[in-house]
Amino acid sequence: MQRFLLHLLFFLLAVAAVAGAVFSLDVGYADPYYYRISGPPAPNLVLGTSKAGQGIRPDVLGAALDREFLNFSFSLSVSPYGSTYARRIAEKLRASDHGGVFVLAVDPWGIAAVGSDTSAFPERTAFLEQLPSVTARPNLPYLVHYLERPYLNILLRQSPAVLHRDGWLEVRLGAGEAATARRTAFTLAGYRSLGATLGVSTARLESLADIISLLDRHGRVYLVRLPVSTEMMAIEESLMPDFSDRIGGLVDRFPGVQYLDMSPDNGSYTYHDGLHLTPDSGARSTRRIAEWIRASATQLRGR
Amino acid sequence: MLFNSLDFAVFLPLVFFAYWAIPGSRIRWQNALLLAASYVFYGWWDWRFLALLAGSSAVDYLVGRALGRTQDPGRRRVWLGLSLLVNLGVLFTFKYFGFFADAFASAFTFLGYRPGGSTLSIVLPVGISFYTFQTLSYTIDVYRRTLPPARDAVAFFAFVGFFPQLVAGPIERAGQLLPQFGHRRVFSYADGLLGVQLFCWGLFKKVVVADSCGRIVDLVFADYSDYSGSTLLLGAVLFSFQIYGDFSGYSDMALGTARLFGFRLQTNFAYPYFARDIGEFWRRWHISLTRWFRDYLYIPLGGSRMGLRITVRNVFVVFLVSGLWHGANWTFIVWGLIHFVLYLPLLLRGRNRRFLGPAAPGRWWPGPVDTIRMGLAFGAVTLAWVVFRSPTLGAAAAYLTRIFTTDPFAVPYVYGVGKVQAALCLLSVGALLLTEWLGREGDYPLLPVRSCRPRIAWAVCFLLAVAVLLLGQQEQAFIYFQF
Repeated sequence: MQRFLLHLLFFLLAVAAVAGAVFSLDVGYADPYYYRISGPPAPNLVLGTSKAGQGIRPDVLGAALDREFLNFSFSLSVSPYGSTYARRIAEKLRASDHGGVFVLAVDPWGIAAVGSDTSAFPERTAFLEQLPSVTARPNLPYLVHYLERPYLNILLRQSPAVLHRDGWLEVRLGAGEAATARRTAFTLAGYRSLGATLGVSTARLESLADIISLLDRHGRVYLVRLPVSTEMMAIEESLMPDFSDRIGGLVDRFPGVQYLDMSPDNGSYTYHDGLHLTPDSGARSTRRIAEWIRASATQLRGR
Repeated sequence: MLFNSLDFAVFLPLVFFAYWAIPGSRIRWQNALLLAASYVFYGWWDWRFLALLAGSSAVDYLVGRALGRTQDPGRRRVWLGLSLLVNLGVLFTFKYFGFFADAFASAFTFLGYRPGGSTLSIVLPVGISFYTFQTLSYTIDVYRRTLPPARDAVAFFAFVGFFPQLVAGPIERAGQLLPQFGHRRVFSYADGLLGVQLFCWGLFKKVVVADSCGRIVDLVFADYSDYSGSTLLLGAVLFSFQIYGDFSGYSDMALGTARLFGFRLQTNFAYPYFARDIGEFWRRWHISLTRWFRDYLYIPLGGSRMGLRITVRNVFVVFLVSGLWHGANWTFIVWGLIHFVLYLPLLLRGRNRRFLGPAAPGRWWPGPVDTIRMGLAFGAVTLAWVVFRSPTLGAAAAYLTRIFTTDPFAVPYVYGVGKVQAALCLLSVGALLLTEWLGREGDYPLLPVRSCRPRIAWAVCFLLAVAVLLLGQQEQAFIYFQF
């Protein structure tokens, strides 16, 4: 027995050593969320779903506004506006700061739901709800239960999606016209069928209002509707024709909150799949957001 | 609790050390510990269903004792009937009630009646089909007097709830496993090493092979109407490896875990994808269930002793019940019937037991005829898996039709799957096939490694563990838990 235990111990230590060595490298090659849900609370946040996760670059925003941002956006099934996301934002927010800048990407998908039963919302079963913490590093429960891609990608440093430490997900897919058309067709078909099942959710809208209210106490809040392809815009229009009115109504409730609708410039950007901005377009749209924030801040100071 | 979870990684060493630390390896204490550990293991999923497990064990323990006390054939039949009623009643209620209620409602609606009431939505307890069949085998064997009734209640309860094989088999026969709870277990280095090796190999099959195939399979089956025939065929082939890696991986981990505690479980898979016809496939796939049906259904129905017509009927019943055992869905029933149709020509020509040994014994590669036979058997099994995997018969029919009618020769493409992911998946399947082919003449594929020096065996375990670590993805439940 002793001999077996000794050999077993060596075996386990060797495996643990490999695991430790791998985890000490850049996990961003293995997972699209890890750096967002591990690490200390941040003073400035980018919020939303995958559109914001890929389309709003904290490095560009930070350089323009001279502050550090964390992109704390996830995906439509993880971080639509709702109580789960609100709770985690409160946890990720550096409570002592009151001069933060918060960019919230809004679109019809983030405030829509199937039915009104909040316990049936998809994010209720997602990792963001289940994790004990979103500020621990290393976040072991996440690494063990939710890591998305194999650790081998960390060693190879090869992945079509690389998560940067500031939370920006850099996605580089085949840029050929045929590949883009194929991805776009898939995404549009998927969103068309999804849109047919969704309707505006009062609970999500109220949650968004709660989040704005919370963030408003810690700094300036900016709502942004990111650009999408014209085909996706048509789907969004049919899902929620009164989206702008609803957001307008929400903004009116908070005097300092600003709203930028970038959809008039939809045609000026490029997309992987009709929905997500390419990295270069993401950089351009982020610069545009940064300029608008600067202008808004100046305007607000002048009042 | 899943074998591939962090919870189990903590649970197993704790139980292992506590088990062997019992002074003098007293079997009563060890059995009590195994019972407690098994109930924790099962209750981790949902503690409320522990009552079912305990109830099923209690009924069969008491029925076994009653059968031991009476010689009266009438009374013995009553006791057996009680056990069958309780066990199959529980299984029916939890697994099949909703299905049959819906089927009857549909039939009545078809005939012009509109039945009132609503069907129940019942949660299926994990592993219920496995432990029900295991405990039933005990009662039937005691009834047949091929097994003495158990005296030690703790040992019996530990036998029914034995955690390594509780939720997904192998379905152990009481005559094989129960006596092991009455004998002193002695730890041996060789058993321990084999246990670790089997566990690592099973984990590799589950986490690396099955899960990497499963990710692609899920995408293909979810949007099958958008893909070419070649992609759908690839999806079907990958599902064949997913379900094999998943289920046989669990069995290997169960065998390995049991070895660590000094128990030997029966082999559940014997390289089924190297089978040369459907008859051989069923002697190599889910062996514990096939044998259960043979001994407790096929033979009592008359087996092959009562002429060809009755034999065909009996085989039909076995395949039908085998399909239904997997779940309350027409897809499983039709899957069973497809296998009956594939098996029937062999049976009618008396060639169903043609291949009993391993393929190409003593040779590196199979001959061309054997290769074609294996390919045809695998192809037939793979197409049948499409029905098994599909949510409805309509979806299965559409999927199968598209394989042959929509760009069957196009280059397969699955949206959202990168080249590295695809390459890893195919490489892992290749590694599985190669390892199993090289080890096909032994009970376990890594047997040749076990006979080498321990250092080499440990090194293989290390490589498997590192592969699991580097190539593994998110924790996924085992497919066969739902059965």
